[in-house]
Amino acid sequence: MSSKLTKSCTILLTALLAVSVAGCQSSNNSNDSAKNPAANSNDPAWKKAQTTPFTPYPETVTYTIGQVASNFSALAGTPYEKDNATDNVWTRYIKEKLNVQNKVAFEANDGTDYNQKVSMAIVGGTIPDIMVVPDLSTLQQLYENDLIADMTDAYNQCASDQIKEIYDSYKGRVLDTARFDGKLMALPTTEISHGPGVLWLRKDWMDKLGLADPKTMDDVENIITQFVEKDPGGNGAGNTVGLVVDNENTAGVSGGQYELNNIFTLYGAFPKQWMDDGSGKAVYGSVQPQMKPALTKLADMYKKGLIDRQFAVRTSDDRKALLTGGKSGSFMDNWWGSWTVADSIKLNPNAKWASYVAPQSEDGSVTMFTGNPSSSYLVVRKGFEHPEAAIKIASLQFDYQRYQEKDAAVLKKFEDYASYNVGGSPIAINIDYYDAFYRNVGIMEEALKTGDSSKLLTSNDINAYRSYKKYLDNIKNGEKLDSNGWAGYTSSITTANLVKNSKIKEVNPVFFGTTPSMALKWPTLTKMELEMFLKIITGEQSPDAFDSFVSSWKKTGGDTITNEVNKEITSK
Amino acid sequence: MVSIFPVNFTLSSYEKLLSDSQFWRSFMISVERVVLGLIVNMMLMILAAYPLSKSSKQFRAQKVYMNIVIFAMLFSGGLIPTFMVVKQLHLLDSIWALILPGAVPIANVILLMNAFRAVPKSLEEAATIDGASQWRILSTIYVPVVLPTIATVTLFTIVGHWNDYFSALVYINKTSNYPLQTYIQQLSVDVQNITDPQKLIEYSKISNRTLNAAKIVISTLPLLLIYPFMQKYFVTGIVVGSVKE
Amino acid sequence: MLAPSIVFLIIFSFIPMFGIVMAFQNYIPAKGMSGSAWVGLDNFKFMFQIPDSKQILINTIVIALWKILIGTLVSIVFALLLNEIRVRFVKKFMQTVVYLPNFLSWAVLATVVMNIFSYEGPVNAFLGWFGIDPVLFMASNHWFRPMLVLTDVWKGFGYGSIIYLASLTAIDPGLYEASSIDGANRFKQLWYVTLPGLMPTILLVTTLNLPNVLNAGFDQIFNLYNPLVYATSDIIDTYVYRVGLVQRQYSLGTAIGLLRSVVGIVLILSANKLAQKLTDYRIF
Repeated sequence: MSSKLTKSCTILLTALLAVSVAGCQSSNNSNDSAKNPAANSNDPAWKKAQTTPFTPYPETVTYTIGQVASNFSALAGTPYEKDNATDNVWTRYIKEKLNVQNKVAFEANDGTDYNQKVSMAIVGGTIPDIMVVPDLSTLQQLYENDLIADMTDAYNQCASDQIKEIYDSYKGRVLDTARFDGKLMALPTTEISHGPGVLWLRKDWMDKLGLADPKTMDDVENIITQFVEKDPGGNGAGNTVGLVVDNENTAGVSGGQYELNNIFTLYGAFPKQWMDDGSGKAVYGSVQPQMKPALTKLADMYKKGLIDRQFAVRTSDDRKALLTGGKSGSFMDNWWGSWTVADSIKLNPNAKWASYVAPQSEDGSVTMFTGNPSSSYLVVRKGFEHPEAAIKIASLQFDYQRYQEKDAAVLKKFEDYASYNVGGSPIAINIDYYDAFYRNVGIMEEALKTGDSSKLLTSNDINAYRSYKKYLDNIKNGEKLDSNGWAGYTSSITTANLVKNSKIKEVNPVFFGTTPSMALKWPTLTKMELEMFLKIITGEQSPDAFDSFVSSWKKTGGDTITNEVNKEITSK
Repeated sequence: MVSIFPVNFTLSSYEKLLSDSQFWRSFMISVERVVLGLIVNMMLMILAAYPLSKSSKQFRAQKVYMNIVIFAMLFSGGLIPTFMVVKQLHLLDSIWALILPGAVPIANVILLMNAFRAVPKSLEEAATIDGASQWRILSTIYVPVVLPTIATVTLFTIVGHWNDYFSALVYINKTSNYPLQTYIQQLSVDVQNITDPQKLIEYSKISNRTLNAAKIVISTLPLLLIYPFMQKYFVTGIVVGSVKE
Repeated sequence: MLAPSIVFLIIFSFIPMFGIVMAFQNYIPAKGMSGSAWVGLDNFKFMFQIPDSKQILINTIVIALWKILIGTLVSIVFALLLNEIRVRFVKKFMQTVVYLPNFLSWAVLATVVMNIFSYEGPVNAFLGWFGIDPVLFMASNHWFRPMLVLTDVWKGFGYGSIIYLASLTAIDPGLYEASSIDGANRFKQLWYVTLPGLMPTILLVTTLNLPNVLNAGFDQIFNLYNPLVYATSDIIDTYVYRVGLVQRQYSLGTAIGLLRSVVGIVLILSANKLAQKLTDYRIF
């Protein structure tokens, strides 16, 4: 078989050669980008399209995109059932208004999967014409490697006035994060205020037990104790679960779902936040002494069964099921918590949830820490012929469609999409005012009272108005409630009002980025921190273990990182 | 808690499932993957296991190749380099990206190799005297004898391709091209890294728990249907493949 | 005949192996492997500094060894028991039932396992009859490793027993006759005839299983674990997934992955040596 051996060796070598040659010529191939008509800058039609927000291009401009997947299967059985990522209500609208068409380079579910795809695209050296990157460090990497286009001119010319006004309302907190050497390298998403933590309780259970609305920590504990002990939901003795809590983020994400942020801030603790220690120096909240009494309290609550005993092993599905299935009647969330439990209305028409800004401190206030003003960035590949297209789409999506589109037939389509909970837009960022969620609540209430919707500002509001109106009518007529109407009204009207009228102290963390040492050491530190949280709360370790956590956190790189954070803050 | 069979068992989730076009699309992609993957895997497996089963007297480079194969089994360059290769070959987003990187399932090759070794040498010698080529000997003598082992590795291969969800997450760029297990795995959105309230509200609205349970049940059915037919083979198959003569 | 396979192995296994250089770089995706800075052994140094690496290394080896040990033991015992069953129908039925879990994915089985061992699950209900307080099996560092071993053995023992069952039938009946003439009771027969007869098979299967156990732990653990039990269950693969891919520390992830390969190779080569020495059986 020796001749065979020679032969196969030859084949091998050839294959090896072929592949390594292919491996050498990387980044400059453009199979991921679309072919486009050359823009003729002398042609007035082209010129106008390239320098104004809403003028369509004379010829169709196609762009490749990395986009977040939408749940199109929810459209089965509707007139939209043939819709897909490149042909849906949003993409047709963009095509019609701007003559721009998307072509999918990759798509994935939001979160980890999408972020992984972005990494892979960058690793592979070919990024799509337009994509959203999930954090500042990725944006920085792309800039340093000269892979993305300067969008300064495009922004100045093609961002609509309203878009500019919205960004300006953040006073540079958002847009400046995307500026490098004076150049705007991305369109940042604006994270609207998450509001304070909101405690959601089963109102019908409270009524049954004759419990008053909670204010202090003691009130909250008392209500949950009664829920667990007296079993108002009829789960059988000992089967009612306490507070439903997230297992990976017990606290520390602004507006986080199932997070105990309010209890921590009650003790002056700001887990996972880089805070100003009062002297202008940044310190990490999770290693500050205020954490210990907060953790002691939670360990005590856990021991008494006031916190779900199994919270460490629950998945997000489990958590939701506990609440909607009536196993638990309490969770700490945010103002849109009603959406989390919307299904409980379907399963049990008598279920009633009420929201509270609680537990409050002695002066009746609740302290909240604000979130990262911008968490993701829309970028354009360097070399893409029409960087302004990205800005034009954003202007269309976040200004024109919301504030100026008056065609009822067109708006109906977007309303339908919203009612099936389907996204569809290729661009998954949001550009909205910081106080968006309670900004227009007064106008909305007025409209609902008078039945005159003409003063409503945005198409979203008009959609919402119809849904709330129907909800209120249903209540009046004693009809079965629609869960979407209930959840929308409860979050955007009832809770928005509650938050607006509560005493909220906002605290701004001073740093959201990453530092060089963080890249390597943060995962380990995060893991240590997470284990500490869970072990102390579940009683596997006594609260005193917090002290040893702090010292090993500092030793394992925490001190180095704290120094780097301070250096970055002063260098800005 | 979660249960495979939802507490309030209804057929409505199964009915809804029947109308979910993406579910069936993914189902068909999985079927296609199993069929193509099976063909590629089996061919390469047999062609590799046969020469490797020869003693170094018959096939001088046997040791060298065996070491190459073992080395490939033990060492791996990791996900990202493999991804780069798949990308350079322009296989991304095609069904071949799910099949070719694992085209040579080494553990199964070793199993099959041991089965070939157990075939009595006298059979081959008789055929050689008759002037049969190695290809003929392989196809007419060896393969029929080790049929039970082949059936066994067939089952392994089917199960492996059917149950794998991870490679599609990496190599497939369009969710409409996901195979079934990936589609199912995607049903529970991981919202860990999302902080934008607007998006979070969207996700809180999506709830189809019982539907998901139905999908898991249906996706497991095909395996449960194939299994009894293969069982009688694989019992004898594994034995021939791994026990010393 | 080998050529196509070797070509595939070169393309999809050997070429990617060059990716190991990432372990010696501060790898930045946008710069690629050729552009990223070389940092020598920094990643490895860091790896040995962080408390995690010692822990995940211990977890990986301990979990793997327990799984192999208990798995082999249970498979052999089950094979011995099955061998005693004379009714064909019962035997077939038993086999079908116990082989089945091996073909289900952990994604599906995990929900079943979580259910059975949950706070309100049947196991705790059962313990309750004896006045034992419910145990959070899946959230306890005390219980989680045994749970991993138990569920892994449960999934695989029936399947593992196939080979032993076959080897049993291959043992020369003459040996049993001879030993019973010598007055050996059943236990002695088991010890002096059956086990030595099974030894080559045990070694072969164990060796072939070693890299498998190191790999296949991922699906099981990934679907079952939670942050509370990282201390006892985080293995190299789950860590690499979280740190290397999700948190995008490519270089550290690759360095740790390399460590796994080394552990795997050491384990399998020593097993192979042992097998050769004890039974003179060539596996590869």
